[in-house]
Amino acid sequence: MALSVVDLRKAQRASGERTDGSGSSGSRAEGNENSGADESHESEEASAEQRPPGERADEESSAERPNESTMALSVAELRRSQRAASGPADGEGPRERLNESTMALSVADLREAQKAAQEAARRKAARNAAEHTAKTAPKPAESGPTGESTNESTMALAVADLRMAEARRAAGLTDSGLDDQATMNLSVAGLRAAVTERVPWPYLLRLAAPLIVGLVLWLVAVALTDASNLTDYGLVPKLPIVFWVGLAALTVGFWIVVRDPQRSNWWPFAYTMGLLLMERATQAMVYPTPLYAWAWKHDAVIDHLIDAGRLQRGAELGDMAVYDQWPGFFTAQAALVELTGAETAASFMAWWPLFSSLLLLGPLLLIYRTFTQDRRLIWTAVWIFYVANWVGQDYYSPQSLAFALHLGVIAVALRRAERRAPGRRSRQMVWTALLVPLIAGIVIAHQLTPVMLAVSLGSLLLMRRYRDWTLLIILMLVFLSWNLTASLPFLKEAVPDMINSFGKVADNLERGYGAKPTGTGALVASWAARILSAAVVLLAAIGLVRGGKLLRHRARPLLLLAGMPPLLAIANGYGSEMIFRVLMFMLPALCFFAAAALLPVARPLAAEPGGKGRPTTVKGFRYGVVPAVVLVMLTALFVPSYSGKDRLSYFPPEEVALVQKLFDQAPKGSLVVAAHRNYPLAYDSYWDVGHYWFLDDAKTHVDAIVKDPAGTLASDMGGVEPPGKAYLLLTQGQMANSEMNGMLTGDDLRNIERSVAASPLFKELARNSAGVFFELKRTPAPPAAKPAAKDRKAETGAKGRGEEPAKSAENAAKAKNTETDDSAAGSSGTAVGLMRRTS
Amino acid sequence: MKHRPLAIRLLTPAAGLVAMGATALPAASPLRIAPVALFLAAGPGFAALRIAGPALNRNRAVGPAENWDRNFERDSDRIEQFLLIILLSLSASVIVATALIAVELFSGLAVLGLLTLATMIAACCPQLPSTIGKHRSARAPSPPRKG
Repeated sequence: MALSVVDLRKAQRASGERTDGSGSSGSRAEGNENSGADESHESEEASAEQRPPGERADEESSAERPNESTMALSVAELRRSQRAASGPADGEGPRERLNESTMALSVADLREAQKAAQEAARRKAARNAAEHTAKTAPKPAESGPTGESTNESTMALAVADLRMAEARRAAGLTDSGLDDQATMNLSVAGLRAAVTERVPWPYLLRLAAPLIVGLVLWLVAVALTDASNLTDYGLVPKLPIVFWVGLAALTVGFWIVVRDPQRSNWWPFAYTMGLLLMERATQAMVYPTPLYAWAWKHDAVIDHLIDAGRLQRGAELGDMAVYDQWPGFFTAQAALVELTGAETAASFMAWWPLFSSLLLLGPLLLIYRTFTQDRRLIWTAVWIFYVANWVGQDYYSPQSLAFALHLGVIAVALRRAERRAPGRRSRQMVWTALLVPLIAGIVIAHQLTPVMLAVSLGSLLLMRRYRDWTLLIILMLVFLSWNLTASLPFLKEAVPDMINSFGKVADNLERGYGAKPTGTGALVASWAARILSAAVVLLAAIGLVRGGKLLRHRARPLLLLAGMPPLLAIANGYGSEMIFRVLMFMLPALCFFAAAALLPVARPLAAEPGGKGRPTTVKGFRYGVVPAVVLVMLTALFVPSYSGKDRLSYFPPEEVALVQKLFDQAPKGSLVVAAHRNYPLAYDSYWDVGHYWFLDDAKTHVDAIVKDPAGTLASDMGGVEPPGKAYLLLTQGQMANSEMNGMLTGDDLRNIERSVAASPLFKELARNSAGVFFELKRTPAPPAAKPAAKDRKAETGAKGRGEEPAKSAENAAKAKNTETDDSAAGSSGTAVGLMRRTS
Repeated sequence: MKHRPLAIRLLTPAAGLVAMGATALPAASPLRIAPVALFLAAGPGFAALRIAGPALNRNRAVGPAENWDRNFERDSDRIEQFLLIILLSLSASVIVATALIAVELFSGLAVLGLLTLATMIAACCPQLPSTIGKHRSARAPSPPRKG
């Protein structure tokens, strides 16, 4: 814009020097044509929702385009005028100039000049308006809601003035040079005012108000929320009404700012940040301790790596060795813990969902921007992705990081991994080299994500454009290199199960035992999640149908990426989690088409005004209101889907303190017995202390425990050799998990606790509001007919490792304790504990 | 990623050195966490992109059919660079930490030191020439955009 003003000044000087109208006829003709175009453009702009002038000056906004193009036209005209004016100095003789002048005085020009003269009075009034605008521009408060349109008219009038002056000079109708000079001065003043005009605060506030209101209400809600006694409905009933009002305000505000396709990207960006805060930071602010037993488990793995300082991939860690075979995430986090001086990763892992979600934003934007310039589509898809991604793989885990890296590779591949062509190979080498670290990071951090990445890259090969095997071959090389060396021990054990599960789609999509929601609260959360997912899939289908061939053609790679993850259900159940992982990997592509369902159908470029595909602002009930309602519903559904089972995942500080107290006094070689692993620090010191969760055992044995709790458990715990001790730990997290997943009722667990407390075989060591733990004092005589659970497990554990059963009491418990979670999923047919916060 | 003097280029490894120095501060202090987190999140990726920048910027990426938004391609390139800086840095941390623990030399300072060394080497390396990615054919940088 500064250049424009400079050019205008030059033009002003040039026009003052001009003595004829040579070389301006062409410019005028163009000017008139363009003027008509500009007028129509301005009317289009004026019909659009009001936007601030400052936003137009923003580089990120393309709302400035009309003005810029208008300016560019005028500058081009003025440059031509300048060249024409300086023509004699370049050697043009007077004769040539006379001829040009004669040519310029064409009938068309005269008509234009006449028309210009007739409009002189009106233009004069317009100049006065421009002057007035220039004076009032620095006072944005006075501009009011019409400041933007005023600015537009300022620009348009200034440009019109310049054209007018030029036309009059060309036609010889200028009375005096002073008049022209005044016109030019006014025009430059108007342009300068338009350029320097600031964004009116009322306008900014109007756009920002929903965001501000939403965030303020969110902060109030966080302050008002008491998460101490969660019910089966999790966090949902604890959230005050202001939270929901704030969420609705945020969502409606998002739609208001995003529905104008020319508004700055910073607006939807700000609203998306607000959404992420409300979605992913609420729990971190409401709960005093980190959520999810699995996150606590990963904290234990990091502790182990810091403690050991090396990888232990063999039998010494039992099934927990699998984490040392894919240690990428944990080693990096161990380094972070050491470098920051944090006591443990638990100090910051509550904020990981927010961080990992932020990591996805760049790849998502880049993926969507590969297929459309429509900001509404891009940001609406991003919004839908964040509200539909309830699966809960954003917690402190390797898969959260690997998913971000996966999307990053896909995003860059979609933009850069075109098939080879002459001269393109070297360019691809650079991009491929940059992606190798990302691929390596994925491979050494997580075992499922590289497979998903290979499938995704393989699907792109179906398109001629992306038919280049380089990236896929590199991925396979890195993948095989790692899996045939570092993670070979795991694969040796897992491959038979993988082969057995191949092709059993129904089994692979089946959720496991212990993952069946029980109780109204758990069912409501499950159904909310199902409805949310179904709604997104339905919207995506509608978007695909409505978008027609054009959308399917433009976004065909996304179509392929959405279609591939379900095929993985054929291969493996992934510990009964496959259905959720399939959904998560499909979401980025699905959400693009789901967003398309809420917006006007894209038309071929030839059918668009200007042929460039420039979208217009959506209005009316169908596109102005319905999408906002749909987005509000989806956003609201996210809350119960994501935090409706927080009773399972939240462990109050008392529970953490109780478990910590147990491990602080447990000698090396001890055994901790609990009903379920759903408690904090469940894997603490897993390299020194064994674990046994009796709800993982056979149903008959669980029945035996319920029938005679103290006797059966004492028998189970009797094999621990000194100095190790055996502890029984019962906490509210275990009780919640047992109740909400239909394994045992709360009464059953309370009976067990009462029985053990009354038994002389156990001694109560500590108790608080969150639980209790006992120490086994002595062991009852084992029943002759039936081996104790520990012996059975000892045999199982010893069989696999060639150990003597009598020496493997500790390992027996370990053999049972790690068959879940990502790093072990797929290796075990047991489904217990494989559920996440999913239904 | 413009060509910058060596002193400017050494700012990235200097950030690593600052992060290393910050580890002497009290545990979990914000002044300790901030430089460490900042360098681990962006330092190595920034150094890598500085080397590859000219070669990368030479060519257009695959883009949408529409072309009404003049700054769209520039903004997409910036987003791409930003995400690569972050993801490359995180990947570098993962790889270096894993390599160190595999050879039983793991410590937080060793990871940070190695990453700082890597960024220092990268800062001293010349940038890849833009001709690496230059098309030698008359073919369009990406297949014709169809509407």
